[in-house]
Amino acid sequence: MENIVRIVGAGLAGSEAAYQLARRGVAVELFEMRPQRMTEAHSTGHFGELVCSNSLRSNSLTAPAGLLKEEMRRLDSLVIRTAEANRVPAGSALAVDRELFARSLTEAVEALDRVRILRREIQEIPDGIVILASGPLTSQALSRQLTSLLGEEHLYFYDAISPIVTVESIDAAVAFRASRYGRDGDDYLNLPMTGQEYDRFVDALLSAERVATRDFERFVPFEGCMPIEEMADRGRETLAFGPMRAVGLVDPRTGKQPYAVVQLRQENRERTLYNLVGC
Amino acid sequence: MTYPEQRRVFGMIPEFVRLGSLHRNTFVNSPLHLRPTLQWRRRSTLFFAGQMIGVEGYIESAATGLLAGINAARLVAEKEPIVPPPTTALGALLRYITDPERKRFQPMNVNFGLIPSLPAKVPGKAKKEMLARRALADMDAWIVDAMRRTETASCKPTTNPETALAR
Repeated sequence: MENIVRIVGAGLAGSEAAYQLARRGVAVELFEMRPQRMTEAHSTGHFGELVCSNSLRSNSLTAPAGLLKEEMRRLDSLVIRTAEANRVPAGSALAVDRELFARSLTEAVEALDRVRILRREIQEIPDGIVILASGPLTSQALSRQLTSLLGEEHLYFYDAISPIVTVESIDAAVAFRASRYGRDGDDYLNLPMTGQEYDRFVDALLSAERVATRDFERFVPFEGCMPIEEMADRGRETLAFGPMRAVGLVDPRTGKQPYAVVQLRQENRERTLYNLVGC
Repeated sequence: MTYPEQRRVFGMIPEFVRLGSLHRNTFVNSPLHLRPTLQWRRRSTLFFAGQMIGVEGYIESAATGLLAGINAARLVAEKEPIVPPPTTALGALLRYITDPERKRFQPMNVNFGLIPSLPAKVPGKAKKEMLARRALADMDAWIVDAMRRTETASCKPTTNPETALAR
């Protein structure tokens, strides 16, 4: 057996695999097409660029994501270690400054003697021992090869990215810091809505023009990451009981639970950016 | 919604530096194609890892890369690829996404529902604590065992690929 492993894609999986191989003394060729060839979601050439939320979810052992993290720590995970070194406050969750995280992960992999980094697109699966970790935005050429290799079982669907807002555009007189039932301290910023405001918001959502589906993509929304307008389509109160639910939150101005809230999660260490929770 | 429409609808909320979007997500029908070791059923030197195998979430993606790395290293050393026990979060997730009996496959997050239940009935929070304690004890034992296990790789699929793919 050839004494080298080729990894396609330096995302979270590819970077972690490269590290695990290197620490076992195995030579690695790590292929990454960015930044020469970008995707519709990435904006840098960094390894492990996070394109959805900046939260790696719970750090608590009694939460499944927290348990998985602890298992990974025991297996000496580079991704977890790098995330912890670049975390931002998010209560019991492990959230990171995405820029710092991706940059440190890239530097850590670059520093591995046994890993050779090749910045180019792989269009055909190499011979020998290969780890294919090209991700949800695998290039067209490689996707085409996969389709012919695997057959009909190669699927497409959509995923949602949450918007980010600036802190100075948030009205400090209205927004309040709190977490649901006070469980996570005051890490979240909450924007309360009255019933009337919520109604106007839902009206605006329902009348908004939608993005047209491109023909090579079938629209199959995934329950965990559904666009807000799709949720509003299911019923006027779906959002008020879903990502915009106010249960467990008290508006300090009124002393009452608001009708609905938009929750914002800290995006970077400087506290200048917040993302909308409920992507 | 289109970007101009997001600005109009979300306009009552604050200033946006990034708008929401939908992107394509390519993933493999893992129950049919992958072994729990993350090897392709039809070529044992080809591993798949990350979100494209139908795991959902950053941690899940990294965790499958971690196991693919371990197993690719074992293949180089001519040792049999391995999988953590089903009582661990990682082992449970791998068994879920590579179960050839699974019909309509959709991406999956790690969750306690995937881990085999405890022998005795335990209420809510205590149950999660016990599942977590068992998972970590089993993971520790597996790590020790994995260091010892050195049997040579046969490179033969554990399941006949033709029957698995015909399902």
